Amino acid sequence: MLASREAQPVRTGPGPQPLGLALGELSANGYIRDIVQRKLGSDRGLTLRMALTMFLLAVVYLIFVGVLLLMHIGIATIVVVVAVLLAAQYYFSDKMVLSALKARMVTPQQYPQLYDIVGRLAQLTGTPMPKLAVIPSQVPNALATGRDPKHAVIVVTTGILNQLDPKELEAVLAHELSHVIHRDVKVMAMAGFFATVASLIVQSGMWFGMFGGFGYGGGGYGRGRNSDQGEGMIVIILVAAVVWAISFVLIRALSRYREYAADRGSAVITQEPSQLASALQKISGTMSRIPTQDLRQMQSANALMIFPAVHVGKGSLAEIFSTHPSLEHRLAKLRDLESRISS
Amino acid sequence: MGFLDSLIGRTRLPKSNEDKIFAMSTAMLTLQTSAELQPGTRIGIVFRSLPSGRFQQLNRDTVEMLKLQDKSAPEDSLKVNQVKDDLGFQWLVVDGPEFESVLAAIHAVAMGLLDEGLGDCLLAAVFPFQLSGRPVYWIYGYKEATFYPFVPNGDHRRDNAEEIRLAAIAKEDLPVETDMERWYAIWGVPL
Repeated sequence: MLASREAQPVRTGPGPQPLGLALGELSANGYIRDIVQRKLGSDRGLTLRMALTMFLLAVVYLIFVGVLLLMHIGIATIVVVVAVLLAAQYYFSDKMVLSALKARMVTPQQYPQLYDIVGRLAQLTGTPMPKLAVIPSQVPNALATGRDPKHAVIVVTTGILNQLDPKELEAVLAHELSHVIHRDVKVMAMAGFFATVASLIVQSGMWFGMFGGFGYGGGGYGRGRNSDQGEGMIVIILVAAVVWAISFVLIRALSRYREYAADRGSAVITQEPSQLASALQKISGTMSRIPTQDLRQMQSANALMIFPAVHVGKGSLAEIFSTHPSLEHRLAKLRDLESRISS
Repeated sequence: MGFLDSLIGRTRLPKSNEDKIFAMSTAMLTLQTSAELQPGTRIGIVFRSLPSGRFQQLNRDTVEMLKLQDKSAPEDSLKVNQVKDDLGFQWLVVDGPEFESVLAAIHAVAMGLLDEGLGDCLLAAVFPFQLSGRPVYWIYGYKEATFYPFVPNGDHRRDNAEEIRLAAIAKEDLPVETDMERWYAIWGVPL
């Protein structure tokens, strides 16, 4: 998007002289690199791990496709089916997620503060204003979806709006906006393509195995050929199962790295990683159990509001986020970022 | 954000660019005659919170600079106010009798921050106008280096028709943002 902007000359014009700061480093386009971005630097380890994961995934997929081609298996149908399914899922990701989570789009009049915060973040990052949706749920959570920044939707629960203070909310929204900027929906859709093909082969193979039986083709004529095909089918299903298992682990790892990257993005945007750390602690429930309300007020207040039941069950939001790194790891990374900024 | 940046999940804030802000001084005439906007005497520049102490210093520097720049002006005609808004963003509001010198001051503030490596903090410069008694704003976004109109119409409502009309009138003289999803609202402008 904005990277394509033409190079700017180094500024030497009139104006106040830089005050008391030793400067030097120029970025590629001639500007002095921003202090915070310079301090944060780049996480080489994370970049390497992410690149390695994607490389391994590509290798697994190439082997998979290679085996399928070698065995002359007509998987064109299944690939086309998966491509259509995933394309639809990718294209309608925003609408599907919204309907699955019972989220509803909200207007600036309904949630002025939410719109104000996201508006400023979007302007700071040069991202088109995302659409905003709210889930009426006390479980504090937030997510971003949509195939590209133009179709991005950021979803929050009423729980997170109630529990976090504005700075923490800003940090969480910056994390979600980073997912949008990193095009995580696109990246994860691509990463999952052949894993979906493999899982479909395994599932349809099992179905086929249960009802049709492998190998023995029935009549005497052409029995050998059918038998060969049956054995081939078993190999394919085994290969697909292995590909499925390996790619599942790799995709989960990739997902966690994308989370770290979004945490880092939030730090770059807000410059306050400690706010995200605080928000994460609250969301995970460690802080929400410390009562902030006056004991006298608590008598009349609904106890459920102060001790929200964070319930990890089927279809709950927490399940969707099971692809995240542990809280401890995320907090450690954020502490590291915080110490870099304040140094 | 380039392709590689999104592939490895790297967030980089777009570089601020304040070169185009002077387009407002040439567009002033069109805005007053064709769009019938009454210009205000102030310009506000808004940025994300600066390192502690830096904001106060910026305020002092700007006052000093204005005094040097405009020796003929009466001592109290140029004013610099600092405001912190509800969203934690900081504003420097420059007020003076001559639009050009106020704009020059805003330019100098932005360039000073860019030179210090604080350019990422820059969000927007806000030019207030009046249109038959109600406030109308032209906003310069430092990330996009474009202008866009902002016409509040009650609580978190915008007069989009009026905004589109203003954009059409000004597009010859100003680099108007073509992507309307980037006409970011700035509510509660302290101008």
